[in-house]
Amino acid sequence: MSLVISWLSVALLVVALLALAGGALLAALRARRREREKQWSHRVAQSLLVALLNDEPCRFELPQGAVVGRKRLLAEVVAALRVTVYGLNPEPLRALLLAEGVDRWLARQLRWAHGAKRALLLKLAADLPSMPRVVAEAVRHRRSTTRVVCFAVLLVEMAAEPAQILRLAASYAYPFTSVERGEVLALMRHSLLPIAYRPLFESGSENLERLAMALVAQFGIEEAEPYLQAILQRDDREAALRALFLLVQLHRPLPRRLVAPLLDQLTPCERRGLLRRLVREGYSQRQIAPLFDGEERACYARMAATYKRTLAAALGR
Amino acid sequence: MVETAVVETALAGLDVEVRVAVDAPAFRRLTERLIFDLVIVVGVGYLLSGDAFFRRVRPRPMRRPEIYLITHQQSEQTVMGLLECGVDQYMTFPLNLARLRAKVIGALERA
Repeated sequence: MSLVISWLSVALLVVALLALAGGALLAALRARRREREKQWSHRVAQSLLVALLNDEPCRFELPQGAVVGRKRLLAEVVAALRVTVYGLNPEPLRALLLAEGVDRWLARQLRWAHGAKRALLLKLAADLPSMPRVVAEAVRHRRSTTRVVCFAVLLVEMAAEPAQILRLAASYAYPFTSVERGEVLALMRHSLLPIAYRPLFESGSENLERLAMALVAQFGIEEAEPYLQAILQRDDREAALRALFLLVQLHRPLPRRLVAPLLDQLTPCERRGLLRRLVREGYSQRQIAPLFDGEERACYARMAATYKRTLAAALGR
Repeated sequence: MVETAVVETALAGLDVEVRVAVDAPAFRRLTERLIFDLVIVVGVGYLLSGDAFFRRVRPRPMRRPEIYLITHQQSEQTVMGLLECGVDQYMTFPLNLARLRAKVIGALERA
């Protein structure tokens, strides 16, 4: 019996060692493959960029090299180039992708993928020059129950028709999250669309209003103050809070008749958060005195003193 | 990798020696051996990593070499914060290659 147990132990040990060695070998092979893919992508990106900048796209040839998934790598390189470089002509890139069959590959991948993987492929498609076969396949998933897929389809449609970006944003079924807002704004920048904030505020669409507020925040547009004050007076607590914090970020005056009704609805924690933001933006005690009671004003004074000590220490260094 | 390739391509043909460090340890090794006229940082990750980047690159109290930062970050507060830390030029993607090349030529002529 003891002999059986000892042979069993040895066998288990051997199996465990083989499994460890196999795992280490697989990891090494994967690392080698990733390194080869990185080198190949780097060579493709450099030579493609040189060909495009010299206006000689027909001279470009894909470098040889044993890489798995050349179509996927090529698509990723082209997408990264479009996102990274300003003013690249998309036509030669589209011709290259069509010649290499990337559109057929991507459409097939979209058809068979699910969930997050489909969303990632759609995001890749949105970053590439628009290809009819891919757009047709993407649009089939417009009514997906997965929100990330719906949004990724929206990006593909916006990339295919930049002039319709605002109409598509207004028709999106969900209110934009901050991440989605950022993606749409990035797409608008890449499409070189002139963006005016006034029509977005006046459109009546929640998503376009959120885009407008993101633009105002990004460029510090103080002239948008009347629109933000109008949002403050709405019954929509979330929208009013966003408008209030944006006014604070722009360091605009906070009239008591507009702000006090909203402050009364805030929890003590939210009021404390607002105080911290006011301190960071450098509002004076006199400016905030009409909005807060004695205890909160004392708290504000302590926070401001802390910030001032940090400032004095930085100057003295 | 593509972003590094883009910056390298923008500097192709200039009469300069370009060294590329793909990560923090490679950059530390480079700064131990070489003094640069210009440093271009792609992405903010390394600047926020806790490594004393500015002290490593610039001996006090000099303002050389110039430091250019190229990133996807657009937020006003991030830009202001990094400029206050000592970044000389802040550029965002998508990058205008001709503009980057002209800035680099100007910086090297001033150096």
